[in-house]
Amino acid sequence: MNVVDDLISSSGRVPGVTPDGLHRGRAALDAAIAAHAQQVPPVRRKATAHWFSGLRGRAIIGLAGAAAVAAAAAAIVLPSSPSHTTGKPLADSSAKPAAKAPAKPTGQTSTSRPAPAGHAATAAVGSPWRLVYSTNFQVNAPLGSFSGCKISTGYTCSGLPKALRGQWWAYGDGWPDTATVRHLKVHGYYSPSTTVWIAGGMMNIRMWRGTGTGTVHSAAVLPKAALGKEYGKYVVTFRVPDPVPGYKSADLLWAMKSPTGGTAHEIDFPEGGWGLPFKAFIHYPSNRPQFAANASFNSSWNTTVLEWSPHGVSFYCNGKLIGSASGNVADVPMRWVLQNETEDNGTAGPAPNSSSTIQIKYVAYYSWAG
Amino acid sequence: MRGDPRSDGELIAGLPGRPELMGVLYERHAPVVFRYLARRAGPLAAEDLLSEVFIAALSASSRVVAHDSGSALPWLYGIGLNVLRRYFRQQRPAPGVTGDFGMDWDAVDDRLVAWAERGRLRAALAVLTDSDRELLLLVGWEGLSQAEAATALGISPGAARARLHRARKRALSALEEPGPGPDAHVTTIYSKEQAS
Repeated sequence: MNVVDDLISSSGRVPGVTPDGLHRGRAALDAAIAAHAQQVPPVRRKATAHWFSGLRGRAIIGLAGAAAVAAAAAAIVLPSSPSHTTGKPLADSSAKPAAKAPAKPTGQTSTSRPAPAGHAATAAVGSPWRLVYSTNFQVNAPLGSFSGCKISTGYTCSGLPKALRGQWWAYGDGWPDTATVRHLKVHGYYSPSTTVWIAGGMMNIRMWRGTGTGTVHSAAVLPKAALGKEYGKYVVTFRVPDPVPGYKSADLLWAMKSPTGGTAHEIDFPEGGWGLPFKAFIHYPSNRPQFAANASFNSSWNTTVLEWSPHGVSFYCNGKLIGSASGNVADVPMRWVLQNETEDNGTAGPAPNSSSTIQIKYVAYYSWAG
Repeated sequence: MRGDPRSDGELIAGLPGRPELMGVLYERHAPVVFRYLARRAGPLAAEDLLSEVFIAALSASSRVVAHDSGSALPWLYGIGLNVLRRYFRQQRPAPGVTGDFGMDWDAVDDRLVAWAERGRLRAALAVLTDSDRELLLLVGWEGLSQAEAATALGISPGAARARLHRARKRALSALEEPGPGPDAHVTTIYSKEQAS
């Protein structure tokens, strides 16, 4: 019988779980524990944040596990705070989610539609950039569509209409945002199923915070065409009609794997608190140069362009170059994340019962063909 | 200092009133459970399924006691098996996945150096029933004792012993037969999938 056992054991070697996977699994489990804890008789419980004391940095997949413990603790101590799966958006004076109706394609979503004013020149003949994907959001997706977002199914959100399933992904419900990972008092969790919808030719991301000391519900959405790409031009047109302090956006390129040497591992643009001017940041291991844009997350439409090529990184806002850097640019595939979440700069965060919406009306990704 | 001094049995016993203890079990066993999942579904899917195993265990925790060995792993493997079955049902008809127990052959094949070994392993396992195959793999891949594997599958230790003997014998016979090449085995598996 040894030949059978030998054959089986020879195929039993597999790689171990990555730290990313381990932490992500822990985050999901902790969210479940938090929900479960509200259903069992109250007995002695204590937070176990020490399990993750070594975690730090931006809330992305790789560091996701840390702070869901805080969610568990919050849910235990504060049963009034809404859960990630049952919470409903609070009243909003400005933006209302699309009605829950079957999504109906109203036009082409991946188009060569003329770019909004501010960056049209970058698509000129002879440009080193080749348009891969653009959308002006002509296919509706009601609130709740950005659900079932998983990696294992090929970075898909199973709740999305079929026409959009190949175009968009989001960090899943319950993943901790940056403020949570950093153990800030006011913090939140990505909750695309309760915050994101597409209607009226726009993607709307309505972040909200629960009552009392409830958590912030946020969303990080990712155009799949720009997932895991090396070099590119990234265009987004957006506004925040009624900005509420304490919410922020940080659209960023994040390395799929660690870059080599001292190259950039994170490039943010635009990043800033809602209602405030935004900037561009390049995160190298040892420094973080930044460039200010003469624009804010407010009711004005702004178009930002991030160009990342083997020659360097350049940032444009409404057609104007605001900064660039060369040398030690990222040299590995990155993901493009339109990340919206709790402010993490030490301010108090958004007020309880507040909400605020960012509207995105154009997104485009170009590959480097230089 | 790492690690909680309490045994798996003590943690499981406390779960009904203190669900956060599942976090301790996760810290203790997640890497091993991941490997269990990865051997069958591949590492990418295993990362997503990992939390599902422990979440399902949380829901079932009021009805379980630890195995006599003191380890929670047999219990977690049993839950993992159900999670995998559900996963493969949802995945069908993904190429390379059998329609019965569920095995991502591409994930398994990646670990076999020679093409001939792929065919041999498939030949050996394809002749087994779902439960016999899982029993053989729990022992061969996960290193469980027969009694622990029995717990994972919800059968008696005696039944596990008999089934294991039968599975090894059948697998050996399949290996010794001058059967068709590896492609034929693939065809067989796909045919089963389409028929189910």
